[in-house]
Amino acid sequence: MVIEEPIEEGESLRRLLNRLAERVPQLRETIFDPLTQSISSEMALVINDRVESPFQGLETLLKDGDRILFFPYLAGG
Amino acid sequence: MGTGTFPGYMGKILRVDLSRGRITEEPLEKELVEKYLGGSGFGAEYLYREVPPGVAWDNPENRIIMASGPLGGTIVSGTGTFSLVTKGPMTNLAVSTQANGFWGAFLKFAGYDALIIQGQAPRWVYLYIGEGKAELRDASPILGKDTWEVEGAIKRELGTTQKLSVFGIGPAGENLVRFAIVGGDEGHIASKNGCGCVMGSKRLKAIAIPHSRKVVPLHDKQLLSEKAKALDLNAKEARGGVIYKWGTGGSFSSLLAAGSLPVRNYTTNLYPEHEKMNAQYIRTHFEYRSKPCWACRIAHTKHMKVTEGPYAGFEGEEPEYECMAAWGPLVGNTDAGAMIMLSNLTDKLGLDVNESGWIIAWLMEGYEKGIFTRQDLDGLEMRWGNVEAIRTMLEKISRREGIGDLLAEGVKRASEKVGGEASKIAIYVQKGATPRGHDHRSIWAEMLDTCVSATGTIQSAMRLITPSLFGLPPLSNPFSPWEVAGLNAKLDGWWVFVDTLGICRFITNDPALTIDCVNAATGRGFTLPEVMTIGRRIINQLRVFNFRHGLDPALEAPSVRYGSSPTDGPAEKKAVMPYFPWMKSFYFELMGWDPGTGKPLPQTLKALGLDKLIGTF
Repeated sequence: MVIEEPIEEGESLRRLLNRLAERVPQLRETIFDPLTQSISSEMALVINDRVESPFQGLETLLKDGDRILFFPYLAGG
Repeated sequence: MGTGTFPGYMGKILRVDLSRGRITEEPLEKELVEKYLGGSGFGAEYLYREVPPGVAWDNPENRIIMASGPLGGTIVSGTGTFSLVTKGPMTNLAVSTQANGFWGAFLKFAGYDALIIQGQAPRWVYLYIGEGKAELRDASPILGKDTWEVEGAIKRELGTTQKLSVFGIGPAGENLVRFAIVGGDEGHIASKNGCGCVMGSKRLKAIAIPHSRKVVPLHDKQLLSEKAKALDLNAKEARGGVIYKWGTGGSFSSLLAAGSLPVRNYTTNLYPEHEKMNAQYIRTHFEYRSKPCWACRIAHTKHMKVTEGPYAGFEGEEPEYECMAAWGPLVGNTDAGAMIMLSNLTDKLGLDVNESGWIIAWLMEGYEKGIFTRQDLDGLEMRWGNVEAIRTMLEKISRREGIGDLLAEGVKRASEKVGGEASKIAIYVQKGATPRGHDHRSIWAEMLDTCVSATGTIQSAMRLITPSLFGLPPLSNPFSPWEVAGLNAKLDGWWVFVDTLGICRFITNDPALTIDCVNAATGRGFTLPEVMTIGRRIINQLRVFNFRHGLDPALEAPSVRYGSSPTDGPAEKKAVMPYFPWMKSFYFELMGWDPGTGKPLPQTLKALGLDKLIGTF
């Protein structure tokens, strides 16, 4: 799923996800829980092709053109 | 007890008594089908029935049970999988370990749902299971061959060009390396708890099955076809399509970002070279072609050719994630071609890649700190990233040569024997084996699961299923002891149920669709709660077996280094050990076990239809 979303310069990822969670059920169900204000630990967070820690990434301040990817963890094999 | 034919099953078990050289057929019991379904379930039941307390792993009376399941050999993707269940030498407890490829499907086409191996052959043999003909054949011409060479050697001996599925042991299993594996179909591995060592103790080199012509009877073939297509689509898209696009190594770099990639024996969580070692790099820089398992349209497994670096020209299987973790960051290697070479070497020698990686990493940290000298290590310079030294050491371990004889005992036993500072840096679960290739200090759910698993493999915590698919809220804090223990307990049963089916776990991302496939094949009409009950039944049965065979719940805990706090990286200073005993106790309580001992309570066993186990441990 790809979402293009206008942001305010300097808006935090947390604020963006809260906005998107209101209207995108899939995001709410699998990526960001507004009730606990946390990214699901089943997902990795990639901002502009760099993996970011899910623990710190929510406070990242965004700018125009930023690409944010949620990438599921895997193990085994 | 009732027997019969059942949709999804061939209706027969093959039993091989190696001591007497006798091969017999038994009808498939109705109770087995109804209560245990197949695979891991058949293994758990036969192991409990036929391996009483006091029978050691290398006693001829130990059993190896290899079983497919009701989806085995069907058109559902990845249904060549089989479960191998035995009592293994790393923990002296049960193991239920799985391998993909073709063997499980070919077993069914030969007319059997499971194979039971007992006894010890007077001379080395291999087993050939043709349609209507099973025989033990002299294995002396193929002794010493690695797990890839065995297939070609058997084909030449039989004078056939027919497709064979051959699973067997390499030099490691022949030499009773404690963590030897059973490998086959060029890269598929039943890896845990030294199952290859058990096979070696029985002087059984390999089991070869040609592609015979029997057809698996099905309840509703048309419906199964529709559901299989839906399952394929789901598997290709699930979790962003990461396995379909990149293989199991697809999350290599994101695991690093979460502090979950194992780097240099847990001495650091920094690995800046990851972008030249991950799946995205090797798939875009090296040549590869698909090498799918039976019926698999996902085809994540690849044959790969290294095209750069000192190992350019090397060809073999693209490493799975566990191999990438072991032979990349864990040992300080930063060359992807070397990682691929070592992965293939490990499989061919017949060594478990997890235990092998951890033991090499232990040596390397010890060497760095001056705990081991070159003289201690047979002259090998075990500095981080010394690939050729790793290669030589793995060969030594597989043959129990020199220092390899000590290392062949595994990390826990080797480190305890050496003692002193060496014992403080070893990573293992106290009951005997190492974890998988992750830094579980940032994945508490997997540390807990690894320590308490009754199967010896990933029992509940595995990041292929989202809790929402089970009607559960998401895990939001991976460092909440409440959430970790709770989610593990709530999910327990699913993976062990999947292991009854004869299907690759990576296909079964959607529980509802998976169950639809099972119902289409068998006509059983299962619901999610019912299949979770089957999975929990098997978990409890294996746990009771383990208690009967001496499981000490105090040893279901990490070693000092395994349970330490990361010194850097995204999970720096996170400390699991203050909470681990409570997490374990809470998990036990939620599973219906005594919170102190972890022993299944009578009411839990009764609810699972395991009344027969009450009072037996």
